[in-house]
Amino acid sequence: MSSAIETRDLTKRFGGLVALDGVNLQAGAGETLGIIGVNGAGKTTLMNCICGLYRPDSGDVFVGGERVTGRPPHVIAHHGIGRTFQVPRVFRKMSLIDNLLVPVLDRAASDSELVGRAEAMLERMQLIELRHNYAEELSGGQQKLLEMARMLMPDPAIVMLDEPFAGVHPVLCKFMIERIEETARAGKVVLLISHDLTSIYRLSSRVVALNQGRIIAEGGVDDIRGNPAVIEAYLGT
Amino acid sequence: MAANDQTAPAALALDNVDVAYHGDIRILRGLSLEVRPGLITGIIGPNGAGKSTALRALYGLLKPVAGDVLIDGRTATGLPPWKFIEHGIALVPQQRSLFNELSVEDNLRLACWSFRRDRRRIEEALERAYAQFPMLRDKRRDLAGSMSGGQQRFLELGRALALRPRVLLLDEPTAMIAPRVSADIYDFISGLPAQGITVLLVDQNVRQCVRIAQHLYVLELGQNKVDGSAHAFQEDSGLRDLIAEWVDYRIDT
Repeated sequence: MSSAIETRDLTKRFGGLVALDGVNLQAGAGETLGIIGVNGAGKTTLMNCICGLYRPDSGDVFVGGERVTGRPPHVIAHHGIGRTFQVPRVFRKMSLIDNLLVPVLDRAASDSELVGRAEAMLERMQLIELRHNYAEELSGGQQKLLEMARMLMPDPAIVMLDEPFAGVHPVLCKFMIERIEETARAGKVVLLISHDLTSIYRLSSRVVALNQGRIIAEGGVDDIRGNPAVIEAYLGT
Repeated sequence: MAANDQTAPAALALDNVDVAYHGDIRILRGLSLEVRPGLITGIIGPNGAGKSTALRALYGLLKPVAGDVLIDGRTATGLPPWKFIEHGIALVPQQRSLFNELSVEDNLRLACWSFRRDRRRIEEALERAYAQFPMLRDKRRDLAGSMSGGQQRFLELGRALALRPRVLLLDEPTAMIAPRVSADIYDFISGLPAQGITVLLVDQNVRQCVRIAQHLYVLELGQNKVDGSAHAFQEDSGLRDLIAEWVDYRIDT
């Protein structure tokens, strides 16, 4: 059976900087893959190549066994990939409800059904009271929750989260961790980038450590803790 | 010229400082540290330890809820960042801070805003930046955003140095920079004390930070875990143990 998501020899260069250098990874349904590494290791570049924001210089991305390399982001999104950003990209001048409706505008479902789903999603994120407020009125952490909600609206099979806990109040972090666990339990593939190793270790079924664009270690949480190559990477050059 | 004088007050210091976000989350807890004149002081620590927060507090970008910020031993708590610039303190932040749509030279000119009517001083400042980094002179009419990441970082350094600071604060100067260029940046930073510039370097590249710093702080959970000579850290096994602890992450939070 093919993996839900797979990259083969994925390589991306920016001028002289090799941001991704032949990255092979795969993940299947229900799996949460933690991606760690120091700044500049290539974590976000990897997500950008998978979702089509960047075109890789070589290598391939497969979603559900189908090659999607080089397709535009909206096409790849339709293959069932959703993602969030380290700095949330909500539609600031739109209400929370409208933010959630944007990714499902092209669906066949009736308006009332879509609004119902959006309200249920806001309920789940504890943002329902604010459904008619502008997104820009939310705190940074709440905007991250809204972005996660918007991403989940089309029910993607693969969910990519880029630093969901960065700059978020610890109480909200805990809430977000529970939502991510729930998402994985629902059978989705979760790709999670975080500097916060505590949450990575708690959420991940498998962890990949990147350094200078390469995978330097891969395995269960206990394979990563105390791994000499990972320690070496965190020491710097 | 600032010399390595142990009796002189610290060029910049935090004294028992608490900084809180969201009102109730203390990122720095009773943190004291000193940027000693004529030296490179390094700050390392795991993610979330409070390194960047300490730097922001030292530059007036964050106001402590307790404790004091000191410039040359005198209280500077609550001063706005531009006052720190007047005291000869400059910051190169981690995130890109250039105006991409302006030329290299216009980016440098903007740094001269506080003396914008003094044409001679502006020319001197530009010359100083170009003398430090001749590459910037060659590219002075290019848009800042058209340069490579490493070149942009040199422009940010040149812009900070154009103001002749006594103290330069650097937040992860080689994050997202190609390794070859990183080496040049560290070489450049190493030479700053010889030009009379005191340096505070916050870095996640532990090895390089320890290599070029003379004094070192290791932050964990907003407090000093280590305050000592960077020399004591030179042997690799001690460092390795420290990092192993961070990666293992069984620190009580």
